[in-house]
Amino acid sequence: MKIEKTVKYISGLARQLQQEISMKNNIADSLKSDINANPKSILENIRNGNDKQATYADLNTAIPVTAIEKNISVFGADGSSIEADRELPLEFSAINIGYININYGDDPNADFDESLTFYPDNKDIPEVDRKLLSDINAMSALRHVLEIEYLIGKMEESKSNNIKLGFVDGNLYPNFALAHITNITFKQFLYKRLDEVAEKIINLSQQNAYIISYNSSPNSIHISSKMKGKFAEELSDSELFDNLLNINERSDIFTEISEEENNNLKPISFVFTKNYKELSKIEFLKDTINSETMDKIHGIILSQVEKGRGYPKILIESHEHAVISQSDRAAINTLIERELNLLNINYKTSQKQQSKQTRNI
Amino acid sequence: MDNGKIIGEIIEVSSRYCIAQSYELYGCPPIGDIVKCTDDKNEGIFGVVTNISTTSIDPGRRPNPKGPGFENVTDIYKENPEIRHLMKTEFNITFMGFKNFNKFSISIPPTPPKIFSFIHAVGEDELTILFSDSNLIKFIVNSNMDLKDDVITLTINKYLNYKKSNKDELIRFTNLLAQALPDQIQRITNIINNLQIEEDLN
Repeated sequence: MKIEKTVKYISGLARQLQQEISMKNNIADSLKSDINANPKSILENIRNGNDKQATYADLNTAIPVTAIEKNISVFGADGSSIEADRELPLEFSAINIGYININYGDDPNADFDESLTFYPDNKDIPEVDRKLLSDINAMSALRHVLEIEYLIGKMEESKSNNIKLGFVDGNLYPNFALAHITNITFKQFLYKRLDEVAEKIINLSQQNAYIISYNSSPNSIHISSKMKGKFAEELSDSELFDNLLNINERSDIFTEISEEENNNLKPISFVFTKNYKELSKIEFLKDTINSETMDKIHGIILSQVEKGRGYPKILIESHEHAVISQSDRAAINTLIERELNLLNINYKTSQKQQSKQTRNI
Repeated sequence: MDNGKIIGEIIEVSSRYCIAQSYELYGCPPIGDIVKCTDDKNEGIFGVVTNISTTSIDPGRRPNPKGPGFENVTDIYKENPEIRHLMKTEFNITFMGFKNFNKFSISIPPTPPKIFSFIHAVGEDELTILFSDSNLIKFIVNSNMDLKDDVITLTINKYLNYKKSNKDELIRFTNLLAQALPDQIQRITNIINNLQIEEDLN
């Protein structure tokens, strides 16, 4: 690799970024003044925490954290996958869900679990056939659905009387992956599963158990794209709210009314919260968490972020439990080779793969 | 620790020593304690605990400080209950005897115990028999282990306090040390001086 050319290019990008940051800071300050000067200005297609039309005034809502309850239960689920490898004679995919529950308070304890599933030929999800394995978006969306389903199942089983909060990583719905699935039948299948998931989340919320997704430094533009002003489009929601909130404060609850006709999914609400490290977005099903409950949840989230030194501890541990390590993957390759040899099947990879491994001159 | 309670399992073994992991975090006997390894076949292989370590289960993850803000260590564990699932306690055991057809021998076992053999605390009767053998101290002295003198001190200390022994026992051990460590008066003196007998000896 030509080092000098690389250094020159990266230096150029870094200088550009420096200019962008400076410009964005100026824009954010200007928008802040604009918000204060025009409190009645409407944010199109955005509802506020009272389910009314959101205005600039709602952007100035900054709610500090309150003390958290002593006895709380947090749950987390994350997923990891082995994508189908065309170079291997056996083509399959695996999804591993890592789960953790931590109870704090009078009876502190923790519980770990995991669930490993293989595709195709999975009796619970026969919809995943061999062709679908190569659709990364389909498998990614499936993994996300399985994470939430597993989390819900565990929370439903939990006998704890504490307030319960379940965490998933990223967006509550796997929007990007869903939007890029080419197999319409499978897409509909996932929508149906997500609809069932939503019903269960609503049921849980009636029993003092809530599910949120935690989005670290999100790139979303739900709010910033609705701001009027010449340069508002340059900012993301993170950059906007980073200027509006102080540390340990959260925003009002917002809901974006979707214009997509195909979207059968129940709407999502969100808040922004600023911790000592970054701004994050918390998503949840609309009407499952009201402002009073969000005050309790906000404290729990910040407590988890503090324990995790900047990211919710529960998600760190569920990720660690989900991850399929390099040694696990190597072991799987060894297993494949062994099983094929036992059946006298000639195990060889493609010549392309062979050439990458041996790297002869 | 209850007499005979299973406290862990062997996870690595060779002819002279093994490494065991305790079931509970920090739930291992202290250095110098005599323990017994059993599987379904052997009657018992005895060893002395020579090293204890507590580390992360995942070698790629290291613990980081949880404070400041805690007044005591118990609170740290209470506020972070997942810690007990993420760390493990291991302890080294140097073999020093075995039981065969109800007869005790002070030497390395002819065959080491199996991986996943249970580790037990040793009962009073077996402890008395082991320590009555004059070869025990010599064997420990001649064994290859880290912190040897500390282990010898703690082992003798544990036995004398456990049995609430009289002065004759202390003299007996001093003589055994003298036989095992000829011309090493200073070393023997250090070991004896470091003993912490809990009650006045007769």
